[in-house]
Amino acid sequence: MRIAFSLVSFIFTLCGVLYGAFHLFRKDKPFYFQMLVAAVGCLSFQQLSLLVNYLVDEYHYVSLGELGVFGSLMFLLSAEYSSLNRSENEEKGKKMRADLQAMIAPIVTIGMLIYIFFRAHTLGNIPALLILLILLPTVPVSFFALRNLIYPSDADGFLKHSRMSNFFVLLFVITLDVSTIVLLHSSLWGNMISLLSAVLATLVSFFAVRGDRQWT
Amino acid sequence: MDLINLNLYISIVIPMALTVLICKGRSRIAMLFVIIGMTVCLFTGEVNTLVLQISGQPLRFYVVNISPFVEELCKSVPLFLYAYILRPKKQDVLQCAVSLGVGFAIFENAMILAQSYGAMDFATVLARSFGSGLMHAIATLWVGCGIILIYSNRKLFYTGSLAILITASIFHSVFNALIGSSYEIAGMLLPVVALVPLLEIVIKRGINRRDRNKVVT
Repeated sequence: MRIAFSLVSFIFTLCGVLYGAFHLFRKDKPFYFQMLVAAVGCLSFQQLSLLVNYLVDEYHYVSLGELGVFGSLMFLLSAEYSSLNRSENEEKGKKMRADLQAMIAPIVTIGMLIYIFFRAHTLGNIPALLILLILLPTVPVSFFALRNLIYPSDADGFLKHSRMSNFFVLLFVITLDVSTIVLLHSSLWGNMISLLSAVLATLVSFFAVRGDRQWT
Repeated sequence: MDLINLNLYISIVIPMALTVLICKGRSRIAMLFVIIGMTVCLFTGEVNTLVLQISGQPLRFYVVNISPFVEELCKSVPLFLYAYILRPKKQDVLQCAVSLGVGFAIFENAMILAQSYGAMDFATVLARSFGSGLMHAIATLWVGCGIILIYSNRKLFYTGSLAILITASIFHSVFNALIGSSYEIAGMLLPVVALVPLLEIVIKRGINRRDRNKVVT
């Protein structure tokens, strides 16, 4: 069953990265866009790695491919953090209000991570500490994604046009945590939500392209 | 250090080092990075032996899951140092990345061939040279492309570098897993498939573009 989920997830993420990369090559795109495509690409490699591990019968080990989620989150963190415009002429009150409102996302993700850490000794063959390490960047990514969603204050205005993409980044990040929690209780539903996260990653790429078309 | 590897290294690198003196400009830097790649390969071989002993993991597990990360980390260090200390043009970063990967692959193939001389037939040598050579070049080229991406944004150095390194390591790991299994052909095809989008980047941003005065800052 897991191999089927990995295969479908890989196909979805591959479609996402190919679609994004095709538009990326046509002309120079903003840094935010490039990082989003790279994040989906890294996730695609993770799914490929898991798939290959199943094919060559090595799924009983912790695979290096598991770090693909961490890599993908690092790309997303780079994208979201780099798009923050910290210029002085911004309205300070609005900015502070957006920061405070965006704190909801990291609070929720921290809560989920604490739950995962205390409930899970291992997940499949991955130790709880490694799961926590892999999912730790969901905290800052969720904050910056929500912050940019509430108050898209990027320098070149690309974020305003790619809000849907940013929204799916936030959903993707939260789904990653939720899927881990559900995997602790039900393998089938956990895998279903993992698949959903792959679909969301594809949508990130799709809406980033759409946002770019509106922006240019 | 294994004496045969050291002898091999000396016998290849010293004549090549003389070539560095003859070459000029970008060719000299490229040749230098081929030598650096070989040196990194010699060093990584020792690190791998040490880590394998310390970790106590089975060889197959080590080759698929630990050695790709160790190798990619060792390969990327000279590239990061070159990019961040000397601040070269972006075309030079890509050129050096490919040269480093190729140098690494040349010496790795030479070491394996020397250690298992007579046990490998021509087809295996050909497949290994093609697959492994291309894979190392692509993994390092990806690191080079990543450096160009994050070069302009210094505050993203840690997150970006880590993400790039992880992606290259996973690619390497998938290749190692496939090449050592019954899906060997898929393993050899993987670098070829991955080369297509990277070549697009290289051609577009690339090594041979005319706007060479553009500095990545």
